[in-house]
Amino acid sequence: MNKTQNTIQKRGLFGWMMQRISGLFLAYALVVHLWTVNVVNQGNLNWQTISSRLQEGNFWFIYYMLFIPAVIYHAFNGLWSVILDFNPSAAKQRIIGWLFWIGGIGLTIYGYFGLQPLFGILL
Amino acid sequence: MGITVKIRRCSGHTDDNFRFDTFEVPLTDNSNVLDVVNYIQNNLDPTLAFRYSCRAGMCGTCSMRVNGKNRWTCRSTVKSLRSKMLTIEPLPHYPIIKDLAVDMRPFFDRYRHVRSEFVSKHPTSKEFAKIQPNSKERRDIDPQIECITCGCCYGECNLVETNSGYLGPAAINRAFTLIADSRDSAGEERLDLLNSPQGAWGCHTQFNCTDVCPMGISPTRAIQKLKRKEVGHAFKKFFS
Ligand code: HEM
Ligand code: SF4
Ligand code: SF4
Ligand code: FES
Repeated sequence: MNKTQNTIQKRGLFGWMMQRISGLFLAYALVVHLWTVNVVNQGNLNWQTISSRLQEGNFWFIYYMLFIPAVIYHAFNGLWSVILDFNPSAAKQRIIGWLFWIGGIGLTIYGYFGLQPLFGILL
Repeated sequence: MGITVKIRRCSGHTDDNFRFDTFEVPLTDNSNVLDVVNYIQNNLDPTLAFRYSCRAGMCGTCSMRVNGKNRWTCRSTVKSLRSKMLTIEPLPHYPIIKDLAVDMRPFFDRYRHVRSEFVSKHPTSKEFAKIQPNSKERRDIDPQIECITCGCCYGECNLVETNSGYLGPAAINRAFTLIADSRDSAGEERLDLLNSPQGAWGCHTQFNCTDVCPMGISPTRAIQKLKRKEVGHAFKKFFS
């Protein structure tokens, strides 16, 4: 097998490790998310309460800036591992890989864009 | 005492016209599934093809799919299946030679591919290697070594079904026992080889292999331990 091909990423180790790291982060982030939305703010979910919470300080800003890409990365990386289970040709892997990256980055930008007004930031 | 037996018949892997034949077979108290197919071949249909050799759970050649699960037929008593009917099929994921006899080449090709032979670090040494029975090495390897290469696990693994290049549970399990063995010198080569979607990363811990292994081995456990070794190996390589 070609040595230059043996980078960590190409061979699946990186994706496997990142799936677990992003999964661990999601285990924490989803609990925080469900807790604040369903328990702390129960019955009181509206623009006012959400945007005032998001403008409380850096915690929520950093939290959402990480949460959105983490979910999207984890979901697409998971789908990627399902794709690899079907042993696709190198050409198909390239096409699907690019589609996933473009889709993932696009969705992340879309997510950030949607949060802008809640953070009181308007570009 | 008797049982109805349905057997999947066909004349080879290119033969799409398989059929199920039904037989009525008398049983004794301890009849096993291999006795049943032997009875059919001896008394009802001499053209029925299947393979076995030791009849004692050692050679791993008598595997068939019985009532939806891959089993060693010489050690599977009909009674233990608790069913009024037997459905016997060839192992999935292997080319069929005829009826219940399958071509084991895909299995053994992969087995060899991972360097399944022991490669001694000190081939000329006359010293005994001292591996303590309670050492981590010994405890890692011990539960994985009794494989009889029956191929049941390879036939049961869904990832073998979808990923035609996947090396499969038995080969990776074997590689793990050698990688973990401090007397062996080809560990790094195997780690590099198995760092691939056809190797360690191909497994999604579905435990089908563990579920059917007649020797009670958990290839899943070996593959999970191997993944951790792969991470360690990659970090070592990265920083050196
Ligand atoms: C508690 C949070 C979560 C944890 C701890 C977690 C953990 C994991 C792990 C360890 C895997 C790898 C499985 C394997 O390789 O066999 C995985 C796969 C996957 N995850 Fe998550 N995950 C979480 C949340 C999510 C969420 C919210 C999504 C969807 C947005 C998601 C989508 C996926 C997908 C599509 C796969 C691939 C399926 C597969 O490999 O069988 N996960 N997850
Ligand atoms: S645990 Fe892994 S090797 Fe075993 S059946 Fe599942 S996917 Fe296949
Ligand atoms: S690991 Fe178990 S099921 Fe797989 S070939 Fe070996 S003995 Fe058979
Ligand atoms: S005939 Fe040898 S294991 Fe069954």
